[in-house]
Amino acid sequence: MNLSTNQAQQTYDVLIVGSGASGGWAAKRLSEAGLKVAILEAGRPQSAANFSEHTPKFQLKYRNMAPEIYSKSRPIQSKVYAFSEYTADWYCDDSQEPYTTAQGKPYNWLGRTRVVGGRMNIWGRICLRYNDWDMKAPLRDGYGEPWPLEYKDLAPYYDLVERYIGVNGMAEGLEERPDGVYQPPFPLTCLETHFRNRVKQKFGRTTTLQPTAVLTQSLNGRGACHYCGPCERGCMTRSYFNPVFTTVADAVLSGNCTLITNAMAYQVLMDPDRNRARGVSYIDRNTKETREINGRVVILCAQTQESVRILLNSATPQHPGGLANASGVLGHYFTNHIANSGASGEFQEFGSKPSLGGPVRPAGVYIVPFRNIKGQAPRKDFLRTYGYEGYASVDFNWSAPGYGEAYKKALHTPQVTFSIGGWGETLPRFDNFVEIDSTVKDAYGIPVIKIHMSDGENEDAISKDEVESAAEMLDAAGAKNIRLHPKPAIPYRPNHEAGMARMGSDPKKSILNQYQQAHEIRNLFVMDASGFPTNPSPNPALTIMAVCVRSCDYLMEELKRGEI
Amino acid sequence: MPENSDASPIGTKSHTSFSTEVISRRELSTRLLGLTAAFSLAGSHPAWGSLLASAGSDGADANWKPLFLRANYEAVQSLAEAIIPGSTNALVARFIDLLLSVDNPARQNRFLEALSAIQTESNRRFDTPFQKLSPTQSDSLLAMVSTAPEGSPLLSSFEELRRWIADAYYSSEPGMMELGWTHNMFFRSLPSCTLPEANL
Repeated sequence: MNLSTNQAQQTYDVLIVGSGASGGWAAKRLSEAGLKVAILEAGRPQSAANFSEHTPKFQLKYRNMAPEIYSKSRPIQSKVYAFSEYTADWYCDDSQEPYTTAQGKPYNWLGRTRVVGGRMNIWGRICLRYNDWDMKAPLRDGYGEPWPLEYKDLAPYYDLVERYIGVNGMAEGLEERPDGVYQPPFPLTCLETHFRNRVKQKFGRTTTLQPTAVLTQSLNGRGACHYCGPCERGCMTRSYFNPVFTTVADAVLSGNCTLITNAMAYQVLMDPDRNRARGVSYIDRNTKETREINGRVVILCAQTQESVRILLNSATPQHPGGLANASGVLGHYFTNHIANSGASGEFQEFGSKPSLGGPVRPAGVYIVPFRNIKGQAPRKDFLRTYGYEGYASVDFNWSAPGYGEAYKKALHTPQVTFSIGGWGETLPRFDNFVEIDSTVKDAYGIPVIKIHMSDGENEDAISKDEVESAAEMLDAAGAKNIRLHPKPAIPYRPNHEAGMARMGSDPKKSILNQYQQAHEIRNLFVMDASGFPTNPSPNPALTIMAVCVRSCDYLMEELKRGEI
Repeated sequence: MPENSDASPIGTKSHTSFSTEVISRRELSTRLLGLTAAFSLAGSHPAWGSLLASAGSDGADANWKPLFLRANYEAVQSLAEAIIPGSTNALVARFIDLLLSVDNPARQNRFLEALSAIQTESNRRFDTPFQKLSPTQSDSLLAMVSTAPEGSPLLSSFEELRRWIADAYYSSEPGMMELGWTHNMFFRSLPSCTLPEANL
């Protein structure tokens, strides 16, 4: 990377670290309003030339069947659902960018992408809204801190984001899961329809299409989905939401945004006399030189652990425990989702001819939370709730007996499986935290984080109920050969980390105010999920974007008023 | 627009949009051409490969030599053809050799042990290795090992080898096409459920 003299000397209105869900939106919102913005992106440029959603396996050297080739470079990243030979180089090299974990507490930090757009290149695209019941849960059960904002504050921003990114879904009219602004939904299959009806009749629970950020109608020059299947490998018609060809592209096209790639942010630089952030230092990934860039405002959107790492690494004599950490909670209350505990069953009567040909619907179903919801007596075995993601598949009979032409023929006997896995809320606990591990640095000389994360009794109880309830619903729907999928010894950790720089009304208990502005440093914001005081069961990406846009509007008002 | 260091992302607000009409192969090509221009796609974009690939494009290099199987290569090729007909044309044994060459020792050994078990049985019954068996003999052997008692070493060995062969064959172009794959990646709609209960 060649940083021009102009860039080095220029003071931008706003520096944004990261170009994913929140970074892209912050850049778009602020640059289109006329502010001069620079994005520092740790990864390399991304373009359609890197997309491979139409490339068949046989054109890959190893046809995505040689996991061992990543055993040294990406032993952790290769565990994420979207990882494959197609896109392996979108992810960080684990050996170059390590982290450490507490003894006896393994944690797979997945989805550490190193391309413009970040995790949004590979996200699952599920867009669910939070509601007040989610955000105010600590007021009911006394665990953690409530969100310092309400659904009515977020609703217009949910609308704005959904209209722009394009979400297709089924409006269900449920208080426990607010509807969004939806494009026409993908159709449900017959098996899904059958399951939806039986589960509704028997339990009163709602199975709906996953509201998904994939277009079913053209929008802003992006084409409707063409049903090829693997969105996580890119999309040449731009039908799924990815900042690369939406928010970040809009920001750059505004003429007010400079995108600096291969820039590993290290520290927020402070002006100690004024207690203000003055810029960011970063390491050029190509030359490994340290550089500085100046800005009137700094916004961290680097991903939860990465943003907190920057704040902790930015400690100064005035902020010895990390920036804006007078409360002492920075790095604490780390949360993620309890994912994938559930069950699967067979529905052979819904068999159709299996095929590798399309069309493929890039979404499953979602079972709306039904535990500890409004109007119910709270359960005694766990706090909070969970939803399910479900997927029906018609596969080939790979375990058919025999060989030769008989085996080839037997392969085509359909194997119809319906799998549902829970996505539950973890409680924010002080003893789930990250700290700087001063004994280890990454390849760029930046101290790494040490993660202390484990599940407690509440998470285990949710997992148990996820398994039992999944089996119960499958049985009610007539599934055969039901198999239980309990939580594995090393839990799968989805890309849903949140907390550690939480928002709150009380500066003694939180890092950020409701606009994701540091209580102690007025021109420092953290707009990714680090600010989430809790991590409700719905997938967080939509809320990350909505809260970010709201905070950007506040930032612009404050700048106009000269308050920052 | 400020200079973007390193590179700028793709992005233009005015580009091709799509409706849901039937997309013919010809239209598809036209659209891809348009997209290529609009998105600055290189001519080598993988999408072109999926459209233009021809059978056997994974190469038939006359100087090719096994990386891992070496003395066992012929046996694997014979077994592959007998277990999944068409494997020879699909270069299944070559691909298995490539995979094994980068695999870990445990999986490599498991494969070799399974192969050895079949060869031992072949030698025991016919006094000749599998690759030298007549079609009748190989059929007889496979019929026996594929129906060996559940949990027996012979059945496990057969299943281990069949898994490798099936994975290799059905990830090749001819194998994928047998399973319904086509070069078409553009579909205008999804099927809907027509059962009466879909309208409940």
